[in-house]
Order: sequence, then C-alpha cells, then structure tokens
Amino acid sequence: MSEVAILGVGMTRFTRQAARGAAALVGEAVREALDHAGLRAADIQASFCGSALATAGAGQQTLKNVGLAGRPIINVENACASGSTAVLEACAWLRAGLCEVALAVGVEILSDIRGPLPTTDDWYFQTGLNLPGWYALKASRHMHEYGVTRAQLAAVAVKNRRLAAENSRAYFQAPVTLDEVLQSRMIADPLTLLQCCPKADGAAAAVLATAAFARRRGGRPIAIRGMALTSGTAVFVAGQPSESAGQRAVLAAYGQADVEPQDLDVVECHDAFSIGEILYTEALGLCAPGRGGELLASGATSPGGRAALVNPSGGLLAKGHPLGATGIAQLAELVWQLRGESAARQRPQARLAAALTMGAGEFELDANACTVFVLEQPHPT
Amino acid sequence: MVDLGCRGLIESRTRVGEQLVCEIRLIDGPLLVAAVEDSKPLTVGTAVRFEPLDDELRFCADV
Repeated sequence: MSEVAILGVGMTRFTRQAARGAAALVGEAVREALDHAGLRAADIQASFCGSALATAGAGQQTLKNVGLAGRPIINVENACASGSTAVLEACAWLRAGLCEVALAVGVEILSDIRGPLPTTDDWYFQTGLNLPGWYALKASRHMHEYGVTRAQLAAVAVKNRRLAAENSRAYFQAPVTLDEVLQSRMIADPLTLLQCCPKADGAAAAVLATAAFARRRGGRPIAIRGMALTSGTAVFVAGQPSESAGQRAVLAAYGQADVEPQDLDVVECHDAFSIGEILYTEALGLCAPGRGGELLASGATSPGGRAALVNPSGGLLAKGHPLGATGIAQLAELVWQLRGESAARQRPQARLAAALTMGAGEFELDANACTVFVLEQPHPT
Repeated sequence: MVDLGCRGLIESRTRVGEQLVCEIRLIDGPLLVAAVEDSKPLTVGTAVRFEPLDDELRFCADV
C-alpha cells in the first residue's frame, strides 16, 4: 500500500443552495465522509479547507460546529484547484508524520454571484476575457491546429449530461442532444451556454490517513499512488511551454505511481468548459496530442468504451463546479468507483483511476495550478 | 512605452459579447492578449498590426 490512503469521502449535491450557507454544506459533506470512513470527528487530527473565493478563516468558520475546533485547521486557496490542493497538503502532513488522520474539505458558494466570476486581473476582465473567454481562446487554437470540430466540442456536453443523469448529486440530471448544445446561446465563441459549467454551491470532503493507520483500521482504503501539483509558466514572456502545467503534473504523478495512461480504468478531469475535457484527456495521455476530439467522438471514453471512462460523475459541465469543492468531488467519484459504489455509472472492475483538476484565471500563465492524483484499489492481501 | 509599429499573427480568438479578443503572437516572440478591431473577418493566422483607431489604440488587420 502507498504511504497515504483515502478512508472515506462525502459530498453534498451540487446545486443552487446558497441560502444553506457554507457551514451547513461542509457539515453535510464531512459527516458523510466520516461515516464512509467509519471514524468520528474526534479521530481527525488536522483539517485542510479549500476555497477559492471564501473569506479568511473559512475552515474555522465551517468546521467549528462539526467537532473539529481546537485542532489544526489550515485554509488553502489555489483557484479551482483549491480543494485538491487541500488534499495534497493533508497528504504532506501525513507523510511528514505531523498527524495520522486528516480531513480535507472543499466548499464554495457561487450561485449568488451575478454575471461572470471575477478574475485576477481587471484589465483582462474588462477586455472581455472572463473564464469562458480564456477557454474559448484555447478552443479556437485547438480547432485551428488540430481540426477539432464544433460538434466534437458539443459532444463532450452530451456525454457528460448523459452520465450525470445517473448521478443524484449532479446539478443537471437531464440529457441533452447535440443540436441543443450547438443551438444554445453563444457565450464565448465557439463555446455555447451548454458547454459551460453551472455556478453551483456545494461541499466535498475526504478522510485521509497514513498507510499504517489504514492497515490497523482495516476497511476499504483507497491508496494514493501518485500526486503532483504544478503552476503555470509565463506564456506571454516565454512563449508556449513545451509541456503545459497539466502535462507536467501528469508526468510527475504517473512517474510516482509507475503507471501508463492505458492502465487507467476511470478518469475525472476538469471540463469546466467542453474544450477542457479534450485538452486534459490529451494531457493525461489517453490519446495523442490533438486527438482528444476524435477520442471523445469514437466513444472510447464513454461507458463500455475501450479507454478509461472519463467523467462518470457528469464532470464539471453537468455535476456543477463549486470551485473549492470540485477537486475533492472528483476524488470522491473515483473512490466510489474503485470501491464499486457508483451504482448505474459504475465502471466494472475499476482498479486504477486518475483525477486532473485545473485552476485558471491568471491570464499571463498557461494555468494557475494543476493537480493530478492517481488512486488505486489495493490488491487483496 | 507602447511600440506603435508592432505586428503579429492571431494565435487564437474568441468573441465575448460584441468584443473580439485575440491572443497575438508578436513577430519578435512575445504573446499578448488584446481586443481587436474586426471590421473585416479575422481568423487564426491573420496578420495584425497595432495602430491608433479613433481615440483608442487597437490591433487591426495588417493589410
């Protein structure tokens, strides 16, 4: 078994629920994760709270009423990768011997923000470069360079809406057709409304422990075989890097895990906008660079396909994207898949899985941050 | 300082509302993001140049 394992996960539904408040959402996710792990709040020795937009002390505010006050609480902000970075920080504490059991939680309330989400640089925002615009630029370049089509972009939303129809925690639970996606309102050419993730409210949590603790406890721990965090490079000055932030994170995580992309059974990747799934399945090595559109269109990443099942949860496009909660929700889906608990969206005999979470918003970098995790269901001993 | 003579190629483009926004690769290497005057169709690969336009400085087609 690896040095660190995930013992249990939990999450709220991702939907419009701002009136519940962040503390209630966190409480629901944490209680489910503790139940899933077979532990109590008293067993948690340190907590890490990821949120991109919350005020200072979000962890203390949201965890004090679930029995976690008085022990270390660390707040983590890393754009859309805040939650997954919180997991990474928890693992660092576990590996360093600072604790044996840790909690990572992510939360965000977005539905009460009118209009596009704020970005880090007002000049770009005023120019029209909000987050859909940032991804739209990537989409137009990919279309020009590799021939990705508008239909292939739209097909990402069709696939993920169909998968989300089997996920009671997803924001959207009704399938859509290719025509509906293509004919929906244009947001940032070529991305239409149904190719953009909804601004959802929600929380997700994971209970993590050292391998030694996991062995003592028994149960069904999921091993973290590899994990990596990268930040983007300054593309405006240095030009496009030979390897993107995503590719560098993937290489590092795969190297630690000693796995190849074709070994993966399930993947959750950052489809905040439809082009995201195409770009990041390429970064994950599920196909050659530029072939992500064809991979999707072939059905290889759909249920029953020849490659890893991609975004069985419905992805960010259909499940929703409450920034700080997203990375942990992706890991939660993978843990359920590896434990055979994903019901109708289960990938049969899933053993190895990966999650890629991207943080964006700083326009002069190729990304703010990227985390990649490789998880494995340990072989029976 | 603004170099009014700089030129480049559109590397990517999107329209957000009425605004055409592009990544432009300048001929001496750097990449920048700018609003672009689009009185004529501009696609990825189109040459553009920076010049005064009305009361603003903008990139426009380098014809």
